[in-house]
Amino acid sequence: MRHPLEAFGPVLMPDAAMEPILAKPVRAALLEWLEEIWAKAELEEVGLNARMRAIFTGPPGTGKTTLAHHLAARLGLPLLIVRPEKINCRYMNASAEAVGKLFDMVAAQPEPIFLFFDEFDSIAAKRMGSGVNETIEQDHNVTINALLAAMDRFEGFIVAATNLGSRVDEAVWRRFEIQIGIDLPGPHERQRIVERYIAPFVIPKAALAALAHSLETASPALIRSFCEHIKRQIVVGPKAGWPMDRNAVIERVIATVKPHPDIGLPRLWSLGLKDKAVPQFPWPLERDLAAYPVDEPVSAGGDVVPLRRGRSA
Amino acid sequence: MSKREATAVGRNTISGRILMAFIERIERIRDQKKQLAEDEKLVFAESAATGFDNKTIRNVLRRRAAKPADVEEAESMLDLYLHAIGMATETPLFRSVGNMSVDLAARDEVIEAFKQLVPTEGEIIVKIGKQPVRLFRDENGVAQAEDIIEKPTAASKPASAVTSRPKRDVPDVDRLGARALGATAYRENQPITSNPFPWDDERRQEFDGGWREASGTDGMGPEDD
Repeated sequence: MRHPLEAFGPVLMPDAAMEPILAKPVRAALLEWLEEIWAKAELEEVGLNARMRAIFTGPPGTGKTTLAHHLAARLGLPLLIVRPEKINCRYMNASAEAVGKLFDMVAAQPEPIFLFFDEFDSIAAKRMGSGVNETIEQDHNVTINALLAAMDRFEGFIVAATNLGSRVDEAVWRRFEIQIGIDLPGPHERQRIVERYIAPFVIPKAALAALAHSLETASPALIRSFCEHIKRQIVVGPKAGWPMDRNAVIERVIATVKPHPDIGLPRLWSLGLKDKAVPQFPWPLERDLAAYPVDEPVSAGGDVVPLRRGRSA
Repeated sequence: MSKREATAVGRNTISGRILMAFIERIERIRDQKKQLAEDEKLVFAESAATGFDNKTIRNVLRRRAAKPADVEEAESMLDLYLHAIGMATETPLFRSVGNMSVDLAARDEVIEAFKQLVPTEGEIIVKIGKQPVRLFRDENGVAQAEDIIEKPTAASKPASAVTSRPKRDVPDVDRLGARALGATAYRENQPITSNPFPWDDERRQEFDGGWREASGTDGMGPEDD
């Protein structure tokens, strides 16, 4: 059955949530927030309110939406992902009206809704007064003012995510009680992301660590894309008659999956097949760790670089 | 001219001269008419060059020349005939209804026309123009009309939202039991979000806590080594 709020974007139920993969300080902050929400009654006794609003900033593909969904699922609430184009309307004043309508509808629901604004900078960009296009600027300012007023009367959970935190209006930003920056994953998170997306295949621990090291500065979305391309090659490659040795497959994958030029090139991409994670990458991939040969070269000596001076390799 | 003059002069009678004067006056007027017709043609040519449709302009000229009452009568007759043979695009009544929002007199006319259509049991609500009108018959059978002031409908909670989420079976346990359920869920490899307690149930956090305790993590995957 269609949820009435789906006029503003998809509504996700708690049972479809995934675990977010996050760095330690962020995880601690989030767990603290969850505990705080659950301790609402005790906080009220000492005259405090539980914080209800958070804004996540960080580069694209770092799992902000996954995180919001996980939080909503931990609390047991449906998550409404508000789509910016449902708020920004083509007519004068209609955007402000849509903001008011959204908050009124959410408030009228019998159970709370976890309100999630994705790409928040497109809704809550700074108010403008350049005078270059006064009508549009005024309409935008009216929308932001409506948003501020709506946020002040709203008593539920609001989470917003944006790539460009600096573009969000200051007054809107101030109304979020928690501001969390979600950065690119660290080495440990990268290992976990590879594990998740390479499944059902598994990679031995040493090779996994080497791969995670070579994937430094990669976003979760890029790592996911890399893993999925490898799996796709395993399925499609033999049918297409491509060479299926390790180097050929990895070369094809890194040729078709590339990070955004501004994010920085992980080592696997800059070195290509010369990267030391490549010879350690188990091939063919197995679904069980026990299936890999025991005498697989261990990474302990992996850093030895053969001398090439005076000799053509 | 010299030839005619010659004959007229040649007769040398008074009536001949008077007649000649009349004829010459008519000839002059005809010349002028010819000249004016030429001028009119020029004006039409000019308007056509500007991009106007001369056929329509002639139509307008004809209408302006005619008496207003005659125009109205001719139009209503035309409407009537067209309607009779099924060619009318818009009946006069509907046209008047269309004018209702701009013309108060038209509005009154429409209301009067509709009054004749009001059934004995039942009513007509006309909602064209700014203000809807309700037409009904009072107890004496006389048609009456009154404006309807629309009241905003009271906001009602959508019923579908309540039913949109299937109610889950909530286990009948106390807080400690919920904690144990969470631990069991972890051992059975169920995700932490499989919590069966609703959001406002204090057992929800116990389940969550039990799961975290059993796994030794914060529920967001394994910790750093």
